[in-house]
Amino acid sequence: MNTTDNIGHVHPLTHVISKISQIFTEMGFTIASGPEIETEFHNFDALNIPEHHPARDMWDTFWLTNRSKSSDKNDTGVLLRTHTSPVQIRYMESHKPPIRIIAPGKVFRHEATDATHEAQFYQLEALVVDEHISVAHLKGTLETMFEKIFEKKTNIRLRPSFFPFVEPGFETDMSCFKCEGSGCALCKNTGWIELGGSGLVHPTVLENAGIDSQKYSGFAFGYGIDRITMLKYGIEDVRLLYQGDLRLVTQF
Amino acid sequence: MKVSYKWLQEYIEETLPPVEKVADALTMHSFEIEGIESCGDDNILDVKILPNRSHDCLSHYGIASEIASVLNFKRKELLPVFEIPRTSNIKVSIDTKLCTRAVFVHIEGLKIGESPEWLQEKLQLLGQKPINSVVDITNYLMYVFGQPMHAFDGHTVAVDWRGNIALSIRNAKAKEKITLLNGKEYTLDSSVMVIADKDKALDVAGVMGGLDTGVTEKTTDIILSLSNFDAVSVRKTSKKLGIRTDASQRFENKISPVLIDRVLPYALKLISEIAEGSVVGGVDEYPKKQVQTVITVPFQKITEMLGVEIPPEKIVEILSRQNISVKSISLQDGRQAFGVYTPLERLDLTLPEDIVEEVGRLYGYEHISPAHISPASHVEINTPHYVSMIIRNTLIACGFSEIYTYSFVPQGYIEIENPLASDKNFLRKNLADAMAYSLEYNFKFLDLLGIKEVKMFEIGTVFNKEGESLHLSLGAKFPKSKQSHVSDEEVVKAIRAIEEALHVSIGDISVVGGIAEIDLQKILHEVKIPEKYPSFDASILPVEYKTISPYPFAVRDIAVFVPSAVNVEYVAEIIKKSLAPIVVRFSLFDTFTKDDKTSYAFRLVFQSSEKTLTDDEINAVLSPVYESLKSQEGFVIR
Repeated sequence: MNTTDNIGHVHPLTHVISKISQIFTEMGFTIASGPEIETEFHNFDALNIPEHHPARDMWDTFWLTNRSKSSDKNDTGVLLRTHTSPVQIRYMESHKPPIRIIAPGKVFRHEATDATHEAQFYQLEALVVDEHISVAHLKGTLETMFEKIFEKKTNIRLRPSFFPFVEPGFETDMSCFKCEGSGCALCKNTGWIELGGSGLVHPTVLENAGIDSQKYSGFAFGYGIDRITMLKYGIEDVRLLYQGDLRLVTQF
Repeated sequence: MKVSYKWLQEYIEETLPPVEKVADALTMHSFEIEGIESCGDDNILDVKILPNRSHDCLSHYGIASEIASVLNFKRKELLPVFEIPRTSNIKVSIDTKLCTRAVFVHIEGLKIGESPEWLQEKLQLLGQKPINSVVDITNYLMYVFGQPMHAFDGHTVAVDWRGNIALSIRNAKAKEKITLLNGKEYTLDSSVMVIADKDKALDVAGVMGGLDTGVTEKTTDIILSLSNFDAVSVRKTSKKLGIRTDASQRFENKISPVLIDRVLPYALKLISEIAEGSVVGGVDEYPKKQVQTVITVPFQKITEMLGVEIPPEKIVEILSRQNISVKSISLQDGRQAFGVYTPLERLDLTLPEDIVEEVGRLYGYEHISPAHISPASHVEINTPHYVSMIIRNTLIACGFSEIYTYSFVPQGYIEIENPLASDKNFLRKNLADAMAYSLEYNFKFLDLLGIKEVKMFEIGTVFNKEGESLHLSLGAKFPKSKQSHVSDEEVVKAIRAIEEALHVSIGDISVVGGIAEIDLQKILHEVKIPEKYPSFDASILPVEYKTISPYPFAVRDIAVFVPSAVNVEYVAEIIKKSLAPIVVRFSLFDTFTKDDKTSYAFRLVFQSSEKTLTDDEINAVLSPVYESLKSQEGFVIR
């Protein structure tokens, strides 16, 4: 039973973003950010998603009115970023390797909303660029992060996937923190929870941002923070997070 | 894509393992199987073919070949390439750069009717409607090999005075009209590619054939048409005309021109067997033959990128399973490398990194052990993040709770071209409007939440004419009994606390109706940024989140006079003992003493997660509480 208190409450998304930020700053990552209104160049072209490529269909985009189509990087923004990946490009444009960043931020997708889909949500981007960065480093970093968030020994499983800005590209699964892999309702009896995309940075993306892809390699991932928050706390409907509803917030 | 398990077996020598095993193998090494549906004695797999594998895998043979790679099976031998007998009857000119190959075969003596049962069943299995034998064969073979095909009725194609057919692949003329097989008339322009005879367009290239030249049961001779078109051109045309077909989907993902060689012998064989047609002759216009891609991959690149040591023999073995041949070569700098020769249909393989993926996914990513990266020497402090941290901590201490609201609103400066709803067509220009709404909204829940007033804040991006900016809004709402300026004062107090915590002056902020909004962008540069983030404890609390009940709550107060010697904990304990789970909140809200008696007033909030509670249900909980209070010496219910 709750008792009255005089201390305010932090939104659950903030709890998770703060925790992730702490985990990564302790690992020597810088927190980077970028605009929510993006250029076509940063959101698509620089990420190896040219216009008229079928891969663009993977992102349902909100476009702004009064825009002129152009792929120039100094252009004004014409769309709401569909992912936090443009922050990778913006950071690489202004920084040289070694790079270790995370970029938690709001993204937008033009899709019908339901309990597990929102037109706005938060994504966690991470980018590491250095000499000799490998899939093993991606796995190790993900294990550390999810073990600290879910406070359980975690295994990471990578499955082949495709995102134009990585090669190889993966769908990332973590071992279920509830049943620890033995199978339960949360993981639909598979023992694994799907998190989202990751991979080694595509050489074209490095070159687009002015980094020598012969010398440097890197990994990147982008996961839904809303999804992690819902998993962590058992929140059943993503839309609750944006209602300004204290019945949710005061529980945290 | 829907894939029949039984069809897959037709292209593999070994007996396939059970469908679940096949699905698992593909999911872990190729692409996800999103579902398996049993269909008679067959199973239909729903394969989520990745965009980079849509060149070679939007077909049963493509998937079968992928299974052969993953499970190290042998592919069945395909029919040999058909050498098309030349004919002077048909002439073709490719008048566009966007068509890389065009094959036309004239077939005569056809008897077209319904397809045999086995063919009808195959199409129905994939949800397709059988039409007639020739059309069914072209459709079926597209699902098998991924090469779209079309047949024109030979008698509907224009001939010259010698009886010859002159076909061309060209851009449509301005305002050229064509009625397609869907029965609709389209007006084309020069961005649309067509297959035409000397008089008219017969087909929108890669998208759909014309109605007038379509094959019917009366057709006796056909021009079988197989081409390779530019992906972007087909995609643009398909979008422009609003027609998406199985053919356009395959072309817009770009396919290899050699798929024509693979499918043609099967097409002619089936047309001959089922519709008794015989080949007169044809043309194959293929001016620039596809060249095999050779990729140089240094030995150590594979190990370096994957982070696991794989012996070169193993790499060669993995690649050969995929029909990728490998030669050892020495680079100029003395390093050893693989010269990798890729199959023509694998248009996804162009870079060394692509080969790394091919090795990694078949080797198995599960064999890669996690490794740690060294930390960077310098961590930059992100100013908005730091300032937001400080503000949040300050406001929490002042009793303000944080909310997140929507960026989409009905009015603002920046408009969305394709909004989800007519009242979500602008980006928010402030946070205050949402704050005003949220204050009212949450005010209804004071008792449920056990709070005396609503105090909230939001930090978020707003969008002005000049662009986007980070804002903070604060709001407070007190019950009417308090004086109206109390809310405003509470907000001002909180702003002063932020100024103190950040050592900046925010300046004059107007507080209206208990709401203030601050443009943080204006103060960010004034904040002194530390070398390191403050070590706020960011441990995630072990919160047991409870689902918010959609049913209304009810409030009941219990006031009781007790002898002054009795303390409040004793009284509370008596009440607590009798409470049921539908009491979601219980708190003391008033105390006063008169003579030797003290009055304690408790507030109980009732709510169910399953239904709206009735008075009877609430009273059933309250009655025993009253009874046990009354039974106490000197207790009097008020």
